[in-house]
Amino acid sequence: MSRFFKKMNFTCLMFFCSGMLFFHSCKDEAEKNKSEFDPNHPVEITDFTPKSGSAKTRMHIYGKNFGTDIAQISVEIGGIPAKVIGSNGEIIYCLVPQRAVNGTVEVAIGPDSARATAAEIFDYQSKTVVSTLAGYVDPTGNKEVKDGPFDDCGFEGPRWLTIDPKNKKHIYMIDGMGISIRLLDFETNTVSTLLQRGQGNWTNMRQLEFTLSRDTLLISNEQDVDGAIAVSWVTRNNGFKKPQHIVYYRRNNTCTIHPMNGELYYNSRTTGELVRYDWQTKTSQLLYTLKNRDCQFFVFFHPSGDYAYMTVPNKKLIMKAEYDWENKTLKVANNFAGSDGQEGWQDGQGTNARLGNPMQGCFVKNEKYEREGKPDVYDFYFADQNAHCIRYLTPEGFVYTYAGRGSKGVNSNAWGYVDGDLLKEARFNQPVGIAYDEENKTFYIGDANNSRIRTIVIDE
Amino acid sequence: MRYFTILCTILFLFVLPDGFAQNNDGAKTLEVTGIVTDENNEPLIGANVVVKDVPGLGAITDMDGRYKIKIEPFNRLVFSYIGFKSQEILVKTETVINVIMEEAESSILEEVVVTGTGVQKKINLTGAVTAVDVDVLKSSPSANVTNALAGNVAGVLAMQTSGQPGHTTSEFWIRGISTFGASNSALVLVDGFERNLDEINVEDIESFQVLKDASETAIYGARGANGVVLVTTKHGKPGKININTKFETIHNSLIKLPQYVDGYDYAVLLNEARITRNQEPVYAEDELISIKYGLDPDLLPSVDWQDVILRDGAMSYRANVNLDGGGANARYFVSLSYVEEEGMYKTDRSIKEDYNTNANSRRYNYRINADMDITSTTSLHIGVSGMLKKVNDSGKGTNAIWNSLTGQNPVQMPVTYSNGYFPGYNVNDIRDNPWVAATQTGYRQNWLNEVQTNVTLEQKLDFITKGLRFIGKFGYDTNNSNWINKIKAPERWTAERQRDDKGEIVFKRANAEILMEQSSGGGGDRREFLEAELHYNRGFGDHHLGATLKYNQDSKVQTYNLGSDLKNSIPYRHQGMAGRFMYDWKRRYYANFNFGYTGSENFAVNNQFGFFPAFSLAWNISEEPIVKNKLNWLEMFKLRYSWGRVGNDNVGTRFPYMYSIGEDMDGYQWADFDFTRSFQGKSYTRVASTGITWEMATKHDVGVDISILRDKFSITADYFHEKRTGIFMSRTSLPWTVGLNTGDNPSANVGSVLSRGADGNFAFKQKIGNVNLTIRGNATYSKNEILERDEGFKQFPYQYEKGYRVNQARGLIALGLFKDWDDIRNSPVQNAWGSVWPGDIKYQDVNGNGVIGDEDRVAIGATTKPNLIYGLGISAQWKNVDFNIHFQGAGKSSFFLSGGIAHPFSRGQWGNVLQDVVENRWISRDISGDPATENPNAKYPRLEYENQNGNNRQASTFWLRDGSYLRLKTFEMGYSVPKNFVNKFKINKMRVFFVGTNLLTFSEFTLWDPEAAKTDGGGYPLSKSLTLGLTVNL
Repeated sequence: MSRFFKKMNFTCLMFFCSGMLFFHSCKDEAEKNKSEFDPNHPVEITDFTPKSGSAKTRMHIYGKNFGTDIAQISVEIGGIPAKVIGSNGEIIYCLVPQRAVNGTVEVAIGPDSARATAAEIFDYQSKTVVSTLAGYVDPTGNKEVKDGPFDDCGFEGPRWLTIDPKNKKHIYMIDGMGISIRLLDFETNTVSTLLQRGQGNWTNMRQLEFTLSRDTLLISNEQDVDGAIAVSWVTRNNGFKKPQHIVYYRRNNTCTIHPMNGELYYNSRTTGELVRYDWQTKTSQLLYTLKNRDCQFFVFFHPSGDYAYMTVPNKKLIMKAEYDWENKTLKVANNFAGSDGQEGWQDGQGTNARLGNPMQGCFVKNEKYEREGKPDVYDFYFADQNAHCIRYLTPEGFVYTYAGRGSKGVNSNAWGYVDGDLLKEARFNQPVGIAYDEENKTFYIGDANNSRIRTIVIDE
Repeated sequence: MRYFTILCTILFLFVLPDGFAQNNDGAKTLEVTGIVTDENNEPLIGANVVVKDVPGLGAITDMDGRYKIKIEPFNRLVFSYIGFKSQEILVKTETVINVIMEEAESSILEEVVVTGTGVQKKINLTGAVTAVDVDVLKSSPSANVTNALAGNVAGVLAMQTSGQPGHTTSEFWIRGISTFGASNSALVLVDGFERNLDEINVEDIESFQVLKDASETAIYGARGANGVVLVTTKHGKPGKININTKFETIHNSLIKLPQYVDGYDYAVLLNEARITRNQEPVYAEDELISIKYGLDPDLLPSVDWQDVILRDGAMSYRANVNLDGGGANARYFVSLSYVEEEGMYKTDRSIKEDYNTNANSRRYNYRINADMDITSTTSLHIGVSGMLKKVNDSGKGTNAIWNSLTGQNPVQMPVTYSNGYFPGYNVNDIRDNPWVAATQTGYRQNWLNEVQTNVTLEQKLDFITKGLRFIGKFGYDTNNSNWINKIKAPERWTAERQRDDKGEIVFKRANAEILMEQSSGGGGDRREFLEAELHYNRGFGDHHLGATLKYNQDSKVQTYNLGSDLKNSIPYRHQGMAGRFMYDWKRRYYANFNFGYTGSENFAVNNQFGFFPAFSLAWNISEEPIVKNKLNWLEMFKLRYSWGRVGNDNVGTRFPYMYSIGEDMDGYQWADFDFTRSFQGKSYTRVASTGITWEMATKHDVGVDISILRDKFSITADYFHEKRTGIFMSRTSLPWTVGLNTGDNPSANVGSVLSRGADGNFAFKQKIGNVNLTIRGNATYSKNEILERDEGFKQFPYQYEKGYRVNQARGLIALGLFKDWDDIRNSPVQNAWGSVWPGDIKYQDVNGNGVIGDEDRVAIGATTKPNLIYGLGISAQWKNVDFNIHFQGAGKSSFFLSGGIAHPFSRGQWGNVLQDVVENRWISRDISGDPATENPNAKYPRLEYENQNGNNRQASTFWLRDGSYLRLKTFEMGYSVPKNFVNKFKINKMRVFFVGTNLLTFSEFTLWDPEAAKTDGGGYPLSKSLTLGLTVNL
């Protein structure tokens, strides 16, 4: 305004000021002072919605005299403090906290006010959701690879995950493009680094696999030279530290053990060759070539050992090979799900489905199949990197999306970092690794581009 | 600068008059006194009394009409007063001289106009010229005089497209657009030379003429086809120093902004747009409640971005001081002016001290015109003027701000997050936060600087033959512009839609902070002009003869940022000879012949010069003895006809007769598949078009001028018919077998356009009691048709541009909305732009092939630029109070609504939604639960989300809007403070006035201001302004 008056002086038109002022706005006044908290009146709760839900449910509490200063508002649901996001004096918007099992809804304004309690009880329901286990990324998108407790550690980009068969509280993980092996220790809730790439002369560690002894951990290595280190081992006795090399091959990706007979399968990405290694004779036998040249694949045996799935990321396929019990070897593999070379995200049966980039997978027992008495009771869950989701393949060859690609309204991207409801909310960004802990019914997911370990705890 | 202006005023007031006053303290001086009265014996207060040929010596009559002046004997005293005839009285030895002044009779017969060959009396005019009342231009609050043209000047169609300070120029076309060639704009001459009209100080303008027909423009030869605007600036008048000052304070507010829905309505409509096309909704029910009650200002806000960015009003200030005076031998006119216009954007208070991000504009003008009589037959005129303009803008610029204002929806992001983070995507994402774009991205400054010089030498050559005169003119202009951008970017953050497990917002940094970076550049040109004229005027009894011969040349060269292209440093040059021969007999029968023989260096040697003849005839019937005697109330009744040919040499291409050869970009593959062995060759990048020359306009004009009852009622009306031939265009019909890429086709002068129309104006003056009443009106209408255009084969005749207007709007014919699936099945197949659903727009199958497609597009509506402009004004004067009301209208224009605003959610969540959509859209009964909402005549079709349905976004009659409007352009009220009061303060005249501009607009189109014809309501709109002003005459 002062600038205005200065100008008016200049034009010697002071006497018009009152007239011109009229044109200037005088609003923005009325809005305030409407809904402040009045300590002389009681706080009332008249209603809340919704009446039931799980943790992180967005709740509106209706009532009177809440005030608008959210720093003064404390809401407890089931006796547990809830995060208050906003209030207009008559509606409080808050999030239902975890474990709010007993369901009371209470509101207090200011440090020493009486609590108002809702007449009804919130029906707290547990729910299967995607959440984040570990991996700190600062808001600028910077991550720092560091060891430490789950809430203060960092990853390059979690990829392959393998649960220690003798100690389910240890999970081994390949970080980044085969840079290091990290150990997630649920006894101490910390992350530590087991092996660095250089310690075994590796270039790009691809897969971790325990042998039948459950004491030896195999590590596959991909390097694009002839006679490169293909599979190495470390043993529990020496703390999984001193690596020794077993076989050498150009651009190996996989190192999979038959769950009954124990022989090792590895391959070459350059040629697509699948090789069987016999521990007794210590010889490698070239089985066959998958899809001509340049075929990256990983082999996953069904727990029964009857067949194996091969995820073929760069051909956008999952192939299936029956096991030849007689000769103790894998039969020729056939396309089972997806279409050769056609990247996409489409659920469907067999070749009607479209896959993004199927990477690690795991077999998960489906109790429903058991009840129905089906011959094969396992679904194959896999991380579809480029489709940014966790999907599963039924024994009949149907591909379904299990988690990810949610929050559709936010933007048109399929990727992102969102926890919550499996399909409605959750988003991943290039998930690569997946492991399933059958006892705790928990999936661990290596969410590579989010640089975080995500978990799905099945809660039914 | 404002203070400087004041200082100068004071300086001139108190210092200069003494310097100018040359008191000839001779031995004998008389002190003459007396009273000046009018015919009713009322004393005249403030009448001028000067000694003839003695500059600066003068007096003003006091409240009783008395004056006192010292004078040497045998000098002449000149008494003058506005509205009265001047009187000269020879003073011998008398000391008391009382004067009775006679009221001057304003007569149309005395009016003069400036034409290309000098000043002419209007009565002698044979061509079509509109002389604009400069006072009308002055009441416009715009800094740019072109914005006052629409509705004020018969023969001009104009349209203002931006209200941004410093960029408010109006496009205008004399008698409409009559070519589809590179240039359809008029030639603008200020003091005889081609100059910029945008930045001229309106107070300096003495006269403003629009030359419309061929007889007036033929002397400009190959440059006059689009009409000519002639502006002359003021010169000093002999007499005591005369100081005029004018100060204005203007309050601007934007006329009409699009009304967008708030956050809640937006979210509800967004959900509908998705549900109605079988997609899942974006916002859950509980989120809608949070938006409605503002419960989550970070993730679910409801922001009125226009309110956040735009101020309710912005001020402008204008000050002007000019002085003129002098004696018989030398006269001067000096003016200074300052204009400041504030932009409409709010600024961030925290950075206000450092720099300004608002779109402000300031301009300083000065002008000095000096006239010297060297001998009794030789005079020299020197004019120097300059202009400096500074325009400010925010770092991202006005376009980015308006783009984000139309695009950023109310729910997408808050102004700032509650932790102070700025929301956004990244530095260059167009979907920027409007507040960030307007205030946090640094600033831009532009300067424009012009200096113009005129020197004119006039020599009477009566010693050779009586009536002969020589005029030589030289002009030299330099124009410079430069810009400095100081751009920065704050750290921007994108929040994830869902909170984390603790309920905290998950932020992702979209871009790191960029500290202020500077870049700069500029441009400039230099122009030189030379003209030599010979004038001859003489009467022999009843025969009046006049002739003018004129030689001119000019050049314009770019002086800055020339780059490596040699063509850039070659000046644009014109050269020409022109002449005019006039003859009339008894001011009754007139015949004129004009020609231009002009050339341009832009064409090949044999096509450079052309001859452009024109003739005109006029018959002033009122001068016929029978009329003069019997019908003497008929003051003027003149019929005019003119024919002529004029050219337009602006083809938009430098040296079209030259070819250029460049490297073939891709080269040719000389090897096996999957190997790169390409070798580049040379090829034509432009084919020479050696025969290229100017386009030719053949113009006919029939006009009538009538003035009756001593100018009480006057009317001028013209009908024009113009055929433009030889329009420069690329030969698009050449087949591929010629071997040229489509863009490389040669050009030729093959296009042709016919345009016809009429313009005219009238005035009615009446005195009712003490009230002087004037009613004025004018109108211009023009319609064109393409006669010839080089177009490739098209299957249907209506697909050719030939036969339609230049820039004719084209689209499908909409038949309403599809009622139901049966309606779709029973209609022609319509899936060219996506599958259609009930509620989508149904189109007419024009070619009858049962399929709707691109070949069903036809000419619909008119053009975006108006083809009809009219104005009507009433002014009244009663004692000291004056009133002026002016309405301006435009018609015969239409434009399409398009973009994210017309088609809600077509760009996903980028694009605001008009309030108009809420009530007037088609809603599926599945959503509304009411079959009545499936209205096949709804204004907006079934919603869509993110390019789901291209069908509804086709240009069609559904989205065609009529751009015609009528507005109260000017409402002016003035009060002249009584003389006997102001004279006490040595002030001659003082007037206080109020002007309201664009106060009311009437239009069928109500979503935003129709004048700019904006398809999506974006861009800086025009303003409504309230002006308070003061003029003081000392």
